[in-house]
Amino acid sequence: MKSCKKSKKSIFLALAFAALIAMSLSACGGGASPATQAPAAPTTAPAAKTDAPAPDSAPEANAPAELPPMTLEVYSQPANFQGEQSGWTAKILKDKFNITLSIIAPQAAGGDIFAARSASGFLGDIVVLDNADIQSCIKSGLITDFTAEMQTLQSFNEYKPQLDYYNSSLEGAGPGKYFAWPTELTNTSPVSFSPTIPGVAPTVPWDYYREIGAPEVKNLTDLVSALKAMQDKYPTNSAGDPSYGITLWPDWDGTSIENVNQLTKWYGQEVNGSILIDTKGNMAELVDDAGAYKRILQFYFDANQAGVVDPDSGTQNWDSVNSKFTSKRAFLIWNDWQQGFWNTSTRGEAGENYMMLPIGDMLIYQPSDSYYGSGRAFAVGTSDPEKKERVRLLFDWMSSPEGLDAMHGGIYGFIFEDDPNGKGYVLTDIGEYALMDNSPVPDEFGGGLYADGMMQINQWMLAGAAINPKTKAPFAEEYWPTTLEKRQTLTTKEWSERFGAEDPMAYLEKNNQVGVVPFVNVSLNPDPSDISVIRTSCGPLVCDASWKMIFAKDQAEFDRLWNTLKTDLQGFDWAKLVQFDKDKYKALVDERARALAAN
Amino acid sequence: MGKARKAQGYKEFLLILPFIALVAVFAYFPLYGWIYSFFDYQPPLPFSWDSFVGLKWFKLLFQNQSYVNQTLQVLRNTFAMSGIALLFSWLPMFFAILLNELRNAPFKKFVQTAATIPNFISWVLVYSVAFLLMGNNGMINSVLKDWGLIARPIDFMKDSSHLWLKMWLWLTWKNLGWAAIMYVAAISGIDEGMYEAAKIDGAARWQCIWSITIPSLLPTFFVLMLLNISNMLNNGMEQYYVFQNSWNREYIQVLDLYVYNLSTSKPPVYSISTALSMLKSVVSLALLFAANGLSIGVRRESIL
Repeated sequence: MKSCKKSKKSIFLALAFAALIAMSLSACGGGASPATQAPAAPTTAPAAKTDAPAPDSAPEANAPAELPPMTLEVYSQPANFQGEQSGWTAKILKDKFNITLSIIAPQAAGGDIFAARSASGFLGDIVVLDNADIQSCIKSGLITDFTAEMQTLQSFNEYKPQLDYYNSSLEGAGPGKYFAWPTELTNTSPVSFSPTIPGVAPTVPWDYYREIGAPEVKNLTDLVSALKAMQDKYPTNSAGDPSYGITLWPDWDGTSIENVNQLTKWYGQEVNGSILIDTKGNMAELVDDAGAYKRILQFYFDANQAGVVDPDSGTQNWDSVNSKFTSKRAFLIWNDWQQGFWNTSTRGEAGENYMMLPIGDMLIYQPSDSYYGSGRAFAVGTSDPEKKERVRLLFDWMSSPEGLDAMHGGIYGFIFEDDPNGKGYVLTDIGEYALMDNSPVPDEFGGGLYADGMMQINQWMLAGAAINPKTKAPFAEEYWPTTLEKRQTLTTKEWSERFGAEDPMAYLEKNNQVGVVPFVNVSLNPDPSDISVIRTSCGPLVCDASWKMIFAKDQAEFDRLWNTLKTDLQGFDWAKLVQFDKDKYKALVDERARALAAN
Repeated sequence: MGKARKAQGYKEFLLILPFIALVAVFAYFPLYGWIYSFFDYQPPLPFSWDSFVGLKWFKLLFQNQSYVNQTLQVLRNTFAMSGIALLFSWLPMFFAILLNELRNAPFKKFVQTAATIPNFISWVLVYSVAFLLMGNNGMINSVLKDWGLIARPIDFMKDSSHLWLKMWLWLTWKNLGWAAIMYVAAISGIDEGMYEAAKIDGAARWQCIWSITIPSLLPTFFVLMLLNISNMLNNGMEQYYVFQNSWNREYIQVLDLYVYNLSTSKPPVYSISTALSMLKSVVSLALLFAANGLSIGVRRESIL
């Protein structure tokens, strides 16, 4: 009797125990559940109607008849969209190769999907990964040898030096083997920078700057004053919503605040993990008292003291920032791509575009064109010969002028056309606003909306700055001579008069205010777990302290928080992390020196 | 006869087999995951015995003073917020009794439904509402500014004072109606005869509540409280995840959230977060036994 009771009790106990464990374990797996997600866009019916090809696509019409339909899974680190590729790009791929792309996006599905899929032994038919992950995936057999196929790609010979350089640095690939195609290669030069505006520079609405008297900005203090003057004059935008000199957001924070990291490049240093690297290759720890990280924190702090920082910074997310940028509710922007939220030819003619505002004491850290690749690579995960052949066809197209015109330019005959004056391509009237307005695409090109139908892998085999052998101009529409001509507006004219230079890069070069750093693409080893643990523990400390410093109530609190941070970090072996990063990035710095010496 | 009983036994076993299988798959199989805490696991590299590190992660958690402090801080938050919830765990019972005393049936239904609905709103939406109400450009600040009561917006979201209490208020708003359902059901199970007898004896309304309703609900209350005690460490993370920011992390990061933050960080550190969540299970179990011991000591009743 007693034993019966006991066993009953122990079964109950065991169940209770099991339930507890299930509860506790389910808590740590919380992020992995939304693995499947239905494509948001409506499925485009026209893409399926391949039996009646339009007359102008006749030359390719016989290709899909021979190829059976196939779906390729693409695991893409940079993709923002998960699901089936739709719209006009889907139609091109269907018509040409009878391929449907199914995109797996860790940015949409959560980072855990990488661990889960790699544990299952298959990441995707095509993978686009950061260099370090490419390296580990080769070691763990998730990426297959693509040597024979790679050599048949039509752009292979032109980019062979870059491909050799990258693949020879991969451990486990072996000499003469090609496992990966680095993203965004160019055929320009490893030490020069082609675009006319730098990647990161202080940028403000030109009309507001003009109206506060176009003051000279010698340093960050002057910039705060200028922003304050703008905000005093324009406390709200035209819709009556409050505007701020600066708006910040925490979504992109890592080991440190991303909004600070970007601005360290104004003062010649780039944040890499726990260290700062300058244009000459000197390294310092992130929390160096004389470093740019603290300097930018001080700038944001001063700006907040002056009342020009959006008080929602730190608790808002990127979506609400996005809407602030598109409605001119934030005056200071820094990344080149942020200009796309506002600048247009029409606004330019009215003098309202955002333009670079040079600061007297800045020295811009500018990586060169991504001649050797931009830090990620395309590779192949399938070993099925039929799939590999189809991937080969796709890669061939993606690295060819035809494919790049589509991905960097858009739809020929709708977004862009041949320039009547023979200057390569020119954007159509629709093309100029298609991206900003997400314009509808006619059914003959695949229907849907233009921006939604763009290649959702969100990464290119050749960069927009690479020169198209057909037109002798860069691939990306924003660099075409015809586009640059169109972008000459009242804003740029007045800017040139004020600053005495043709464009921002010309100004910076003339005044020796830019340090171009060779963009070398070396595969740095991933962190061992000990280091990951330190990085993961220190990250929140740095970010929390940085945010509190920006919103500190006075300078004394600012300084106290900084000193506490430096002490607290030591407890988590910060020094070990800094040393590790210095050793890790030495390879990068050495390669940069070599690239400079060689060119 | 023995044979018949045996056959009956098999039959009954077959009946519960699906549930045993479910428990095995969803409760016991995941235990296999604990193995990661003894390894140096770095996806995408496959899991192999070469990366066995023994108790390395446990040692790190206990030997480095900074990690110990961090864990203690997280535990403090966990126990504080669970403790407040526990302290007020009579509230759903109280609410159910009040509901029961409402004489107007449609109004009673309305109150109960209105109190239960928030339970079905996800925390992400709750946060959006909180942000729209209490952000710097939110409704409350706009109204206060329009009335001329404040010059600069009050930064509710960054304010970390009384955070535990505020979190408890959000939780109560969301859960009260739902938690009261159990008591509403228990009240309907109370023998009407007792009330009638009491009324004949001249008991007033509050005397009925005090002497009949509450004593009848106490067993339910104690069982739920014991379960809550053993679940103290499992106070969930969604709520704290959506409300966390750089200003309140020191007070809001509970154990579940800490484990989640570690395992979803860049780079993720699976091994150490598994080690942490293992410790959690052990502590939960200890709490369950302690609570049960208390129950045996005080009420001479065991729930195990």
